[in-house]
Amino acid sequence: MQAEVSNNFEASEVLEQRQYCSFWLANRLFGVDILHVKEINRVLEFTTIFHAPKEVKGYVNIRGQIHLVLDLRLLLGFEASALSDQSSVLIFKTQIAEPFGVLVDKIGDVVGVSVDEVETRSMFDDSSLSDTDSLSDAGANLVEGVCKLENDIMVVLDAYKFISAVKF
Amino acid sequence: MGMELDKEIVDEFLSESREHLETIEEDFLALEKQKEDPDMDLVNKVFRAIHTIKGGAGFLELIRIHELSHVMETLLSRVRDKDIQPDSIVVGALLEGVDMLSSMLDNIEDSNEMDIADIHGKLSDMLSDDGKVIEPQKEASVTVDSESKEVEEKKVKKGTKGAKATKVTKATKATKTAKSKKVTKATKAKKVTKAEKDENVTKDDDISQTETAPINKIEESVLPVKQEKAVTAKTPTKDRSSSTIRLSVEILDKLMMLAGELVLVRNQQLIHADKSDSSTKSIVQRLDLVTSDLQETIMRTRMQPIGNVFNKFTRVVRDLGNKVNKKIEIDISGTEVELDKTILESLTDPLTHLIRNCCDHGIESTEERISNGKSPIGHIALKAFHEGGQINIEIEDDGKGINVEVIKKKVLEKNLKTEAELAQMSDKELTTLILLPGFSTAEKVSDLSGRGVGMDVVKSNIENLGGTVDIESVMGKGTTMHLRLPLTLAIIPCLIVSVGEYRYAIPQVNLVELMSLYDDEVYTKIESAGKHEVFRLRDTLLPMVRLEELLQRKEPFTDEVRASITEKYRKEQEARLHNMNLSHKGNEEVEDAKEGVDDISKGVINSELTESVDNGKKDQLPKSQSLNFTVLKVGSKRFGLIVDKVLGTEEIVVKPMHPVLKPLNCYSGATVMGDGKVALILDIDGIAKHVGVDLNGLATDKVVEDHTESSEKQSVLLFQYGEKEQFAVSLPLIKRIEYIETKNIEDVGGKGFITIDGVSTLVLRLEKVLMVSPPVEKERMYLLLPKHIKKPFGILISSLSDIAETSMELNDESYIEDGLLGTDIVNEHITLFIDIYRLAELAMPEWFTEDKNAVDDDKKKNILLLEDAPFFRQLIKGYLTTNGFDVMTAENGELGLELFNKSDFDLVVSDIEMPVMDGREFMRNVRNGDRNNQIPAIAVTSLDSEDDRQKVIQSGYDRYETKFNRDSFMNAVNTILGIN
Repeated sequence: MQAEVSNNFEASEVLEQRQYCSFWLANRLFGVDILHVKEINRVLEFTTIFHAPKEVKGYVNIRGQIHLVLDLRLLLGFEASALSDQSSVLIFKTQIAEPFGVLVDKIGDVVGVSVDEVETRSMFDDSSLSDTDSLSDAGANLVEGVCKLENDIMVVLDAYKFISAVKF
Repeated sequence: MGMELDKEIVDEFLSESREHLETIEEDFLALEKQKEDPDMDLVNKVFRAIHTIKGGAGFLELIRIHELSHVMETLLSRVRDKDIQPDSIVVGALLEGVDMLSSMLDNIEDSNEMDIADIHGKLSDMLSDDGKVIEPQKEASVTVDSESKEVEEKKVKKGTKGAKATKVTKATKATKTAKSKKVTKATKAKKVTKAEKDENVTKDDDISQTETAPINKIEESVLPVKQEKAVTAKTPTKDRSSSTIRLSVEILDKLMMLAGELVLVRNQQLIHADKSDSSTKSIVQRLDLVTSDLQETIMRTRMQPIGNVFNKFTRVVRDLGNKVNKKIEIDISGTEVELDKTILESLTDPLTHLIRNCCDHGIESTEERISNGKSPIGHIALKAFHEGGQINIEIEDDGKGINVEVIKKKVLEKNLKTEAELAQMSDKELTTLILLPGFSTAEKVSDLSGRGVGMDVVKSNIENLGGTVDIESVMGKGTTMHLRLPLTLAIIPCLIVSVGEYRYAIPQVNLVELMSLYDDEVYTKIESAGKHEVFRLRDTLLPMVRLEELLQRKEPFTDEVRASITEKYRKEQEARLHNMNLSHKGNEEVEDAKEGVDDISKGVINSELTESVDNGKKDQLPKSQSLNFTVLKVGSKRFGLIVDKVLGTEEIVVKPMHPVLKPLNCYSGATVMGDGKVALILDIDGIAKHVGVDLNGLATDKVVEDHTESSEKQSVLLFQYGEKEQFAVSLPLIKRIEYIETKNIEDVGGKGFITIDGVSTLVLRLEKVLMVSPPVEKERMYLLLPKHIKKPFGILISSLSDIAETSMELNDESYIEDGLLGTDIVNEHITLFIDIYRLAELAMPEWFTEDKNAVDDDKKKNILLLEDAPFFRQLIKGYLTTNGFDVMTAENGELGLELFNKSDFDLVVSDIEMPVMDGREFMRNVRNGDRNNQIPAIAVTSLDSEDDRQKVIQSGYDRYETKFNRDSFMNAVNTILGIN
């Protein structure tokens, strides 16, 4: 037990800094753990999958691999918007789910934040939810925490929950 | 051929065994660490590996390998039973065993002469009960044990001679005598083939392309090359590495991906290249060609015909048959089905197990077969085919089947399931229990099978491939094992079509034909029949589905949806025709037409525009247009799928749908097209279900629709037989109409027969059963094939007149003859409505005598029939009376209730939709009344949704039947009345 505790202590000191890949959706800043991201791609030729839920943007071929792309705007409960030349697809690592990615409005910087700066969902009470209250219920479930940056507030999302948030 | 096979099998055995041994070392070491609490999955895994080697060695008469693996297996089975702990001594011995096995495998030809006494003894020692005690005093034990070692050794040696027959099979004995001869033969064969290897390489299609490559020593291209890491030969006696090449799948995958990217680059370059420069042009063309070839070749490296695995079973079955002293034959089909190598290889083990099971457990001994009245020769059918977007493999034997009772007993004995659990299981579920680990039905443990590893190996192997195993067994008749494997990575030929901007692939297996309609045909040939769009394809009505409309609608089609689509296009057609008739002047009109019908489908416009580019110049019409559709089949259903464009056929690599999209049933997968875009593969079966395609529905829907009106309509086919009469048959009763040559009708005992779809079919001549004029004999005539019949027959027709809507009110008084439902005036002619089923009975009374006697023997049953439509009333009454029932009829529920309260009935048959009082109301009255309220009741109706069924059953009916299915209906009647 003792050993474990001290290990944890050490770990937290080392892992203090976590990096997030930030991106914009409906003029808000979001982020996902950069360790979950495989690549960012600008391939935007989607093959629409009719009959699929609206959150499913379509299939896209990235170097011979077919990836499912979700429209993160819709997944979070925002309005859909037309593609722009800044639209990008964030492709996640396959450890998270079968090959998939999400469509975002614009890619932001990689943000390094120390762990304690991210308020996890369980930590913020209803009043501090104001930053996430425009999200749909389903969208709110994807939120891992909220983090204050110098000029912005970044909502940290949990990539592991994206696929299961697609509802038929 | 025989020699070739020998070598092939040996090589296969070698590569398989090596593969097993490759990982086993690690596993043993892992087990050693776990000691008291070994991971049972791991134990099972190594146990199966050794078991597989043992089985193969036994079969190939490699006695030393067999002996060694046998003792290792036995030791492992003790570990599995937790009798022995996999401590360092045990694992050490096992590892030594593995080393020995490896070196024997490397010197396979001399393996039978190798000395394994030492290690064999060591392992046998472990098996003695005091094995664990030895551990602490290792030094002593070695000396003490030298004696017991010898004893053990003797035991085992004796065993091979048959003394210990329970553990070592008799077969090995037989092996011994035949051994020397056979082994030398095999050796020789090997040498011969080696000498011929270059020739082999060039002969082989798959590999011929690599001829110029430096590695053209790829011998044994016939046997699937394993993709696992290259095995380094443990002893350098043979330079195997130079003769085969093993690649990791990753490399192939990467190659494939790179080739895919190259294609993209090529495509971009094609677009940007300056085509006017002839030298650039030729370079571009060559790049184009080479890239395509490269991509294709790389794909091919992964694909192999399943025949590579299947074909060896001919020999396996023969040899196994000889061993177990049974005569067994195997029929192999579908060898051309191509499978991804990974899947193919992983299939070898399970298939071998299954085939062995067939030989060992399935097929009875020759004597037993004869005494059971079966052919003395047992048959195994092994076939592969594509179906439902999967690769299906069936192994069917005509043996004794699986005895469920034996399974129950075994399962209880082995504590695999409790009695209570078993009691809840259906026979089919019980059958699948043989897939449990540790289950074995063989009384004796033999070389071939029987340690209870076989079936669970099969199951886990197939499941690892994402497939399923299904067992069907009929006691005394045989067993069918059905393996379904995903198409993952399989290449299937597809027709590529497009709708809007997207392309879709239709698997060739579902494709019957392609049709194109031109110009005004587009608007006249697709007709609306009730709520469906149909096309008259030769003599059948083909329901039409518009892919574009389908894609827009996520929910399964309802009647309303079908009606609205039909209506939309009908309106459009009218508008188009109107416009076309008005003007021949120019494009403006077409523009008008477009505006005029604003809900026109985008698809039609698209196709029209593109087509007009091609055809626009040559014709006088403002625009020429075309409409393409594919005729598709799923099982016996056929329908037309309207698409924008047909782009051609292509062999595509199937990728499964993303798991989250599993609920979508209209797609079976996706594929990357040559230009790098993704296309979806259509699941034709799913589509048929989604839109509810059913020709039956065409007419039955109408009935439902028109119910409120007093006079109901039915669609009938009008035809001529003799010169005078016009006949009619209700369309929903027709399966199809065949155009036959009369010279093909053969006379058998005064009756005509013709072969249709490989089935000898009775040709029913109307003048033989009815008082009608003889036929107008022609060289080619039609044969009407009815639905819902047990024995194949068709009604001869000389010419088809029309399809008409007629009233259901038939005149059944003025001219009614047995075999007719009645008459009516249709298209100004008196028309005879024939009762197909009654006619068959008149023509072939012997077909039906059985059924009838059954009823005659019973006392006559009274049936109350409620049906408002006279046509159906007669039809159903006809079914019943010809089967010997007394029938009273009523036109609605109220009248029915009156009758019901007056007389005694044995059964109520009632329609649901009726005026005054409907069938549900009627039944509620019956059930709530106090008179005969438990009477059995069957609802007959044309409502066919699950919802409708529920409602009907809730209102108190016992069964639910559709009106047109006579056989099913009569079965229901007989079952419910307890008549066989």
